Amino acid sequence: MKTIFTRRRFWAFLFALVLLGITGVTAQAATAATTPAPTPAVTSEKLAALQSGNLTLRVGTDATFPPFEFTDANGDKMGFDIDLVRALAKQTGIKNVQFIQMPFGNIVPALQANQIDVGASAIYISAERAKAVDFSDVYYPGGLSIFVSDKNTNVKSLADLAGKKVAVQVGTKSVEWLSQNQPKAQLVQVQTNDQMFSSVKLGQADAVVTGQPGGRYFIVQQGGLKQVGERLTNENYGYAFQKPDTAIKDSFNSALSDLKANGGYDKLTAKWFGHVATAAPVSAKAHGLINISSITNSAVPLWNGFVTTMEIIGMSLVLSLCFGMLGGFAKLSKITPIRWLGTAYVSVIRGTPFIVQLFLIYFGLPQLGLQLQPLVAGVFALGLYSGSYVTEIVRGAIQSVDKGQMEAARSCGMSSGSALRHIIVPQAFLRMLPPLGNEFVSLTKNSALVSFVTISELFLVGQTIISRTFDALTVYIFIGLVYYVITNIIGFIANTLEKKMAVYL
Amino acid sequence: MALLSTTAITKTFGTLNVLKGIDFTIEPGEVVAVIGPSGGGKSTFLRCLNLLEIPSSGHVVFDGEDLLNPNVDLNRLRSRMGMVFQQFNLFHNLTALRNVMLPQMNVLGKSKADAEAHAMELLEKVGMTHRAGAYPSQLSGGQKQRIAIARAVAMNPKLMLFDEPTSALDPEVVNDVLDVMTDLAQQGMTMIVVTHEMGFARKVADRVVFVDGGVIAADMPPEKFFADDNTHPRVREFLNKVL
Repeated sequence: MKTIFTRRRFWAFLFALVLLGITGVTAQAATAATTPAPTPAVTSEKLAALQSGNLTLRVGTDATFPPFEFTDANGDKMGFDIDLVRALAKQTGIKNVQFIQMPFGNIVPALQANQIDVGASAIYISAERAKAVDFSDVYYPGGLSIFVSDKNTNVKSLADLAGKKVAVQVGTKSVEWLSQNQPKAQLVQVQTNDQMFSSVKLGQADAVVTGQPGGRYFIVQQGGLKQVGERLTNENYGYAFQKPDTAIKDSFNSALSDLKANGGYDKLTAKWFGHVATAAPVSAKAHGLINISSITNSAVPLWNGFVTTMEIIGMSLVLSLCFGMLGGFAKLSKITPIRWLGTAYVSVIRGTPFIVQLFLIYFGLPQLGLQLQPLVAGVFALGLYSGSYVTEIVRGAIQSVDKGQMEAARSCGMSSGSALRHIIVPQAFLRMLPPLGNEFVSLTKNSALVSFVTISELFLVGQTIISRTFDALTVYIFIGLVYYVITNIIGFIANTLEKKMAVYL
Repeated sequence: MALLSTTAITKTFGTLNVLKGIDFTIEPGEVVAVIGPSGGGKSTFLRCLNLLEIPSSGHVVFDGEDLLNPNVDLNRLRSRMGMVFQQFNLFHNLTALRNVMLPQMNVLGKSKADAEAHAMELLEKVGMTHRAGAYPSQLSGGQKQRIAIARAVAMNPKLMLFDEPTSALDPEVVNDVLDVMTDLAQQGMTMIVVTHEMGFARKVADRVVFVDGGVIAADMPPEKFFADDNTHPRVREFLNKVL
């Protein structure tokens, strides 16, 4: 490797790196400068911009919580919150509203990071949350209740939950309330609303503690559960706003009292909660094990999710190759600091969980003034993570090329760059193909994790279908099959490419 | 003026002193055979001439330019010094023809058509036109080495370096390669050949340089070197072993 790089090339490379660093910092400073400063004057300007239609109101919601918010077969969001926010926006003169899917636990951070303007997801008003965000007036009274299987006879009150497994949705009020009022309950923390009810139906938990409206809605839709005891709490639902954003919050509050006065509000509660009056337990409804209709009814959102997944895979694959090439050559560099950079990259990125990196990029970087679109953050995180593995593949493959190849090229007068481009990299690439194929299969599987940053790819679409149909078995089998087909196609392409390129072996 | 000269070059690998100060010159048109016992530094010496190994000290002056001067365009100078390796080192990912074409296009900036015409001409000379489309893996050692020579000659070098070109070949094809080298020498090519082929050294070389223990222990015409009355003790010992 001795003669691959000349000293001059190294300085050029180092200079390019430094330059890259400087432009990166400048870009970051520019992003920070364009983020609106948190002053009331600016936020009322924001309201004006929303009313003129120049800005779109971004509403964060976890549409897996019927009847407040869920997703229908066409992939459209619906529910009480969705209708009410639309009505309130209309009343305040806000022209465009966009609902953004995100896990419940991400809504408050997303508000703080200015990724959304409103959180509308059946959020309880709490003192703890009010430290981070502002709340509207109460728009619906709620309260925690206990739900158990309709065959359960030994849980009748809060006291009976001692030592029992209680399913709660992570990041919700139930978690905090139970730990204070029934610390002996064993909490089973699940990601989505439907998993909470499913875990009781499947015997993974003894009871659910959740908002009464949601629990009753499930009973009406699916049956198999019953409500026991009195309401545990008497809290209220409110919409969450960015802390300094009083203008939008105030306009929502006055719109709410307008709707209450003109009867618009009553129409919506009747539409969504009217049938909840019957609290009597409904026995479990009969469903087949595999319901093809769960898939066929949602063909359009599933197709869109598939397309998004393929886009994510394609883009992060290209990024991964770029990072891998850079990293691989850095690790082979004769300049010690550059080699360290490559080593540090692999060591840090391979040594930490992908999900931590993803959340750091999406939720952490906004605190440094760098706010990325979900898709950008997801693709970047996937590319960065996969690139660390590709780095080692590139390094190994290039080192495995006989050093006589480089010597022959240099002895003809070819530059190290020409030798790499025409001789070394083509030979190394062939050796990289089998491990690269494996790595891209991993990348494909990891792509399901970007659903956590609100990208509606295949897995998230699947989850929203399950939140509506409660048919986890069919949907997860189907989605698993789709991933299986994608990974096998990647394997096939890598194999074919290898055979095609291996003519000279 | 000498085409190439070295002054007091040394080469150290760790604590091992492989070259201990070599002074050497070659005139245009000369053919020099470098022979000597294994481990004596022959190959390292040859590889120092085009800086595949960087000498630890000393000077290498080729075509009037000091190769160790950091401002010198080493690629340009190397393109005027063809090298042929023991292990052929044909580019595995290219056909025989492309092997001969690539450096012409990449370094000399020749057009594809010109490079191809010149390459075919040289493949003809080394008797390999029928295998022009073959990849190195499909060729025998002797065929590979003849193509490697064509690749080096295609650059129109002023000097050719041969590093044990026949040592990795089956005995029956050694003469094919030596014939090509003999032709080249007869056309006036300046050549430095590290070899164990005493017959070639005797017949083709103008001078025999005997490298032993990291120094040039003898430098004389072949008729004197191989003469029965050569009394140089190390040469005598070596010749008694190999002849």
